[in-house]
Amino acid sequence: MIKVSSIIAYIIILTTGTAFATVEFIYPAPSTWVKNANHLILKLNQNDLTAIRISVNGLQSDMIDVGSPEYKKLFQDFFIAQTVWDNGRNSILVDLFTGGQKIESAKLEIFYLPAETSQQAPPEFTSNTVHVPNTERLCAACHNVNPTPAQMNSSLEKENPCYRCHKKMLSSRYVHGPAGTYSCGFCHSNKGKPKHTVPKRGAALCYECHSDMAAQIKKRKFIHGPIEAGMCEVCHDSHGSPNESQLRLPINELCLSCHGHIKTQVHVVRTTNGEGHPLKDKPDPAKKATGRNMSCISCHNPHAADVRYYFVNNAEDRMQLCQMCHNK
Amino acid sequence: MKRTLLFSAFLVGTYVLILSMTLSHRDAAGYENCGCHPDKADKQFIHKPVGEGKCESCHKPSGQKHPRVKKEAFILADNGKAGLCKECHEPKDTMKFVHGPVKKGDCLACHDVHQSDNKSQLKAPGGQLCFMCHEKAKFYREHPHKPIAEAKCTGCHDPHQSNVKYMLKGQGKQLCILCHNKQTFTGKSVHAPIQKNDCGACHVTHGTPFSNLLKKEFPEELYLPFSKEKYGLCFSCHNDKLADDLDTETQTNFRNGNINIHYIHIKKNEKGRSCKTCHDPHAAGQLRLISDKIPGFGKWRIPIRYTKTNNGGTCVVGCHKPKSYDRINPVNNP
Repeated sequence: MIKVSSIIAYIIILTTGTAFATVEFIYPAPSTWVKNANHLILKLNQNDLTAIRISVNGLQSDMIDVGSPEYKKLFQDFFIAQTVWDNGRNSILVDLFTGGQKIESAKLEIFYLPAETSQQAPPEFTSNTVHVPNTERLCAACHNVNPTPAQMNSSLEKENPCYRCHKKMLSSRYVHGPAGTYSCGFCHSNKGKPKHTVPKRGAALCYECHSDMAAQIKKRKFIHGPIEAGMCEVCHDSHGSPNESQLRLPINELCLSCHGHIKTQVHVVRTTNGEGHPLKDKPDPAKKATGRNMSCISCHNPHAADVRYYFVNNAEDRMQLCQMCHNK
Repeated sequence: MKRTLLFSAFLVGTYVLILSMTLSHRDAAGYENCGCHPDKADKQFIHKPVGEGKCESCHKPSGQKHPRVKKEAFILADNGKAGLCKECHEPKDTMKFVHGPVKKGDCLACHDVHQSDNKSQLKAPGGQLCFMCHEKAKFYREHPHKPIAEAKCTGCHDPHQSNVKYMLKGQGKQLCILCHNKQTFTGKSVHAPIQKNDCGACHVTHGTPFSNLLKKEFPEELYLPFSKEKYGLCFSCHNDKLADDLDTETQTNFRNGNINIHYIHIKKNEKGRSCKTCHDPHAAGQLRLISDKIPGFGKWRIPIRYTKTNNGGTCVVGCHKPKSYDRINPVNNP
């Protein structure tokens, strides 16, 4: 008898722990890290819920109606919210209400890594994958999860199923061409593993279009490490970023995130006021036409060059670099 | 016995004589009694009657004995002018525009009546023939039309006649599409001159000092510092003030409120965009001659999708994130 009841209890625990949990976290999945702060998607496996309340790291939302017929018609038992995660760890608490009475709470721990950080997620968080059969099964009622290559490349919002969920990628200031035209299928393939990932990574993929860059770099004697390793994505975000050339950080910050020692030194030369050569916030005299400010790339080519330190132009004469600005 | 032998020798001799006569007759068959003029069929291209030895089909005997009487022994119809040629050939002077020599019936100005090393027994190959009368220097161009460079005048001109001025093989666009892909000139929007069948509005067919046979300057590059002179061709019809000021209510309709978006695209000191970056000068798959795709790099051809609204539009393009504009209620692009 004891045996039977313990088996029943075990079954109940098992079932409530999986498919029949009142709240099923679809995106982000529990204990995963994400690099986009865009959505929170839940499935509410209880029909008589009237409202829910979401708290993120203690910050509580208002009560959100999920019980009205209008809501049910639009979202059935799903709950989809636009989210703003805190950088790093996010504890999400979902309180469920029936007729004003709190009946249950569910917890989710995720880790948010914004694209512009070089931070890593703690080991207890794994990367999040939505396009897996178990999750896609839930989405498929409303979303086309098996788009054709033509649909994946359609520059009409309505025709491109990727756009519906991933459009927030385009809200950054500088957007990569194929992303900006919803040409998702240009890089991503539904044959990728996991599904929809890119079939090639790094330079192998990038050089399919940026062949001029490949040719240009090949000619150079000195090649910057990440480029030599084919890791374009270390510096560039393949979708978009707030920085020119879709750089993950503003140019100097990006360089200094690896070459941090420069910050602690007087760079190039000690000037009469004890400071080094201007590295930012001053107009670059060699770039008058564009009105650019000084930055690391005023002197260094971030990809490759014919001289050490990837100087932009002093292959023949060491003074040539300085003379770009200090002429006569 | 001796007599028999002699007789048979006679027979053989007669046979050989007859045979040799027959053979010599056959040899001369090409000229049929014109054996004194054996070099009229030596070259690659031979007038058919000459090759067949039918000299008399043109040189009709007058009854006087040749060679005692020279020229008078034969009569050439129409004194060897077109009237003679028309005995066999269709008349070539029936259309509106007829080549001078054809009109005068002077076929022999261009054709050698007997033979030549050039097709149609022409007196010189290709354009060299034309340059016998039409001064070659006049056709020199820095950027010549390919047929001119290759001296293939007959690519466009019919050497005899045509119903189109200058004996052209077609009127306006119809001429150009003999070689150029017709698809280039069809689309949802077609440039007005092409609609009017007037390729000559922008192009000069023989060539110009500018590339692509253009009448005025138009840059090859997609990116270049802005200058009005560089777009001389476009600005000879279109408003050259369209990129004068960033803030305007009049210079262009490509405005978000008063912000001139042509200015933003093209008026740059370094990477100003050329007109053809977005607009196809011939025809395009979208409104306002906006191309469906523009040259990119590698396997990437940059797509553009332009959607028109009442007072503006939206552009989904591989150059920047999707952006919209509205002349009345400016759009705040996030």
